[in-house]
Amino acid sequence: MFSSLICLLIINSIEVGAHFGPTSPTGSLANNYRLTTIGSLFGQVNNLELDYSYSKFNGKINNRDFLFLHIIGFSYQYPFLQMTNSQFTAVLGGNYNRVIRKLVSAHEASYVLGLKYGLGFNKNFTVSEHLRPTLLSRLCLNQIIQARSWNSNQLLSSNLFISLTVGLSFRFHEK
Amino acid sequence: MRNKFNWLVIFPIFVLLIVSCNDDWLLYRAGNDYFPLKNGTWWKYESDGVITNIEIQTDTVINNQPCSHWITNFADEYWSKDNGNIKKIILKTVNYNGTDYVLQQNWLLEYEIPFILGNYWTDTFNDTIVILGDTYRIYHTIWRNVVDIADTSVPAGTFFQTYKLEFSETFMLNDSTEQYSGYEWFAPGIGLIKRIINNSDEVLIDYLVK
Repeated sequence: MFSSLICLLIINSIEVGAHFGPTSPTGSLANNYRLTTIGSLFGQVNNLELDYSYSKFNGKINNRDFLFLHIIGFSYQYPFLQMTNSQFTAVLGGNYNRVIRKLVSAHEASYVLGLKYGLGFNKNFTVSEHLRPTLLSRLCLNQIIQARSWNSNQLLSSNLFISLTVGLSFRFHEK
Repeated sequence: MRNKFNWLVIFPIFVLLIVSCNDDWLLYRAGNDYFPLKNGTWWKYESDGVITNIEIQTDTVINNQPCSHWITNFADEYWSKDNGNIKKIILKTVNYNGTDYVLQQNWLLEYEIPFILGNYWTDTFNDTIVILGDTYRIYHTIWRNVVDIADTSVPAGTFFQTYKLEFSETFMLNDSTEQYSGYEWFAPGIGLIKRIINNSDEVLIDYLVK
């Protein structure tokens, strides 16, 4: 345990980047909200990633209805297949979702925690010795599960948001 | 070693996700239809021993407006659902020697969906007409406000995450005034389950949603 904590001080890589692409709700939410764009900013240390994402879904039933999703995610990018200048990663982590529904001046806001999982593909380039950008693409799923015992039954609600994004990152330090 | 540390960080996150419980089911409400208008759907209500049967019959078009034809205790009603606005055709007539003359025939906004806490809407019809020399001043206004989210029990069952609406309706014809006010409860996927109107309860006792 102690030796594991010591590893915190050993920084093998620092990376920052951004990616964006289409995102869609699934299931019953897809009946009421349209596909939209998600944008993400992230910082990564030793394959541990902290990111912020934002998306705004337009209502299908009422065009004045909007669903806003602010997501703070924390995940681990596990490189399971590595080639010379590219790698495939598995993404696994958790999300803090700030959800806001808005219709004219009325709004409802809540937070929910979600699971984050998916796949990524990174392609490294070398522009100069100090500038090594990475082209990345990700297929990510944000699954929000809520459960409650109610009326002697167990109620379960699962909402899944799928996103397919592409972007660019820069590695500042690598051992 | 590094991977071991990473998993030591990630594992508590999953534990946190499993044990954490936020009781606001906003996404559940966002994914549900609180005003289903599908043909074949019916509701049965009871108020002071009086039963009201409502059934959605067919899709039709009234005044170039696509709408649903309802039968409410053998009487025709027409409801439209367009860009979140749920409107009902209001028909008021006056009878002269066995002939009905139309006083009011228009679409009036009854509800705006999706229901969101704090949203309110209003619609008004105001007109003066002369029928066979008699002047009629008509003023009809409806106002509703989404006031609460709660679990609600009625004879048809106990419903989760229902929206409570406050409403007021006034119909004035010359010097006579009809006034209605109270509360309504809407359940996800079901529709209206309870109404308190001028201190009288109307509750859902049976239903079939297609």
